[in-house]
Amino acid sequence: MTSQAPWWTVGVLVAVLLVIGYGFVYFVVLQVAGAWLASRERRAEARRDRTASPSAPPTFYFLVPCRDEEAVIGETVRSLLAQDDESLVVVIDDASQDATAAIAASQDADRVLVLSRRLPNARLGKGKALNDGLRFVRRDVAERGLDPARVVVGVMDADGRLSPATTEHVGDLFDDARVGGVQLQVRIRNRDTFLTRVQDIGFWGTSAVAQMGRNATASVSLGGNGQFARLSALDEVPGEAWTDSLTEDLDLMITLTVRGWAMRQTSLAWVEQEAPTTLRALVTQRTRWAQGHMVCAARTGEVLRSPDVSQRTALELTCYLWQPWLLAIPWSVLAPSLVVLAVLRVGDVNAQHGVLVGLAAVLAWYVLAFVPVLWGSLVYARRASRYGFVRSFWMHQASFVLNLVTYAATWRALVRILTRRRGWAKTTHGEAVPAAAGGPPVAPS
Amino acid sequence: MGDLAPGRGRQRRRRDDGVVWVVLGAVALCAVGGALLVVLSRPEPRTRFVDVVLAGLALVGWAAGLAVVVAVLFLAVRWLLLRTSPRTAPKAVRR
Repeated sequence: MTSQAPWWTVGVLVAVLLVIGYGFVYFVVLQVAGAWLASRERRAEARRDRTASPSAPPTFYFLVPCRDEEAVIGETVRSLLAQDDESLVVVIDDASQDATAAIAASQDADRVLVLSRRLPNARLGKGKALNDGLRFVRRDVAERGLDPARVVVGVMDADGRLSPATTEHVGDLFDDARVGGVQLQVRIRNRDTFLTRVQDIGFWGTSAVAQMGRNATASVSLGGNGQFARLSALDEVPGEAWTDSLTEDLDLMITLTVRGWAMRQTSLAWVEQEAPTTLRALVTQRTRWAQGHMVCAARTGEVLRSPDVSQRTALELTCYLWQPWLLAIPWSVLAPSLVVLAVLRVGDVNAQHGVLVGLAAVLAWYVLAFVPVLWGSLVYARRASRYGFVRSFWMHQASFVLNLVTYAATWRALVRILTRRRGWAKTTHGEAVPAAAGGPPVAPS
Repeated sequence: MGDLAPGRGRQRRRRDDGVVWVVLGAVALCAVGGALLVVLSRPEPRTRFVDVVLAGLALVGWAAGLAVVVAVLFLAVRWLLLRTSPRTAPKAVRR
């Protein structure tokens, strides 16, 4: 800075540099770690001899909270039962007015249980429904004399579909006695329109790689769909496992982490879900996620004070929890400002040195600003079969729409926090296209 | 994997934390050093294509270096706080 510059410009410059540096370093570190860990896991899986498994797989209980989901619940339950011969499915019917309960009850009676919640003790939020299901699991585990450390509780949305052999891969992660929770990668099933495709790019591209990178810090974030927790870890949670937080899954992840449990993801399994198909529904969903995420930042102190949380976990989790406050909100102002500045600067350069140098400046700005886009194009093209790099590249150019949605949702969430509004109606599920419900976005945007 | 022996989890955590410090320190040195080199070696006036690119790289380098320095400070403060706060027994054994 020159001596003529006002003092506050130094502060602004440092703040701008910090925002850029935080976003850049966080993105690069997670992507490099994620790509490396996923590659290592795939190589290990290729070498693995599954006939020589050293331990018996854990027992899985799937909790499926649902309300008015007759269009999808039958197929969801059947697909869960097809995972293996042992898993049990607990459908928690939250006072449905359609045939949800009857359809679920008509499946395999030995492995499917329908818990019916009745008004006025129903429709009080997903967390309360899950806690009801967990109470049943605890009773059943006690009656069967199972070891809670070898019992895994999975949470599925009514529209969720697991990839083949998911319980096998998730069970492998729980063989590590330190692991308390596992989150699956998310794939969008109805990725046939522009809006749903950009959501798939968001989940299945760099977000999934970033989540994989969080394996290095044992701080993989839990989402609402395809989350798994060890029952003995849930037993350590004081009070109810799932709170009435807007993002009860992120809340649970923090609770388990401060108690020293490791959170993991596997690159070998995933959950498919339907995405919101209208911009309005998408903004509503992302606003709820953003609000829950922003409120959870208040728990940073617990993370920092816990002696069971390593330095690397504390650092990563703090970066993650403060992402909406320190990245999304500042970047929503900074990004357009930088574009304006760049345009003005190019105008000066053009005037002095001609159009070619001006174009070169634009190209340089683009490459620097869109390195994540180029990387994301490559990642998505590799991970999404039959979706080439060129298509991936062009879709990534357009997927800034999702960034705009994130910015709008974060600001809206901020207003809701300031005005103390936190009530949300259940996301309306269409006849065959239920909106994704559940946790916060699981990677830096 | 079986159960962790008492204390092994903590030892592993200490070793992991040591790696984090070394990596962050190295990245901070490289980022700040690289940015300084770029800025100091840059001739004025800077209007050529390569200068625009270098200016952009310097910006990212400074930003990354600053972020890593803040991260190192964060870790140092937490390390001091945990050392000086009353100890509670960490969970070393899990089943």
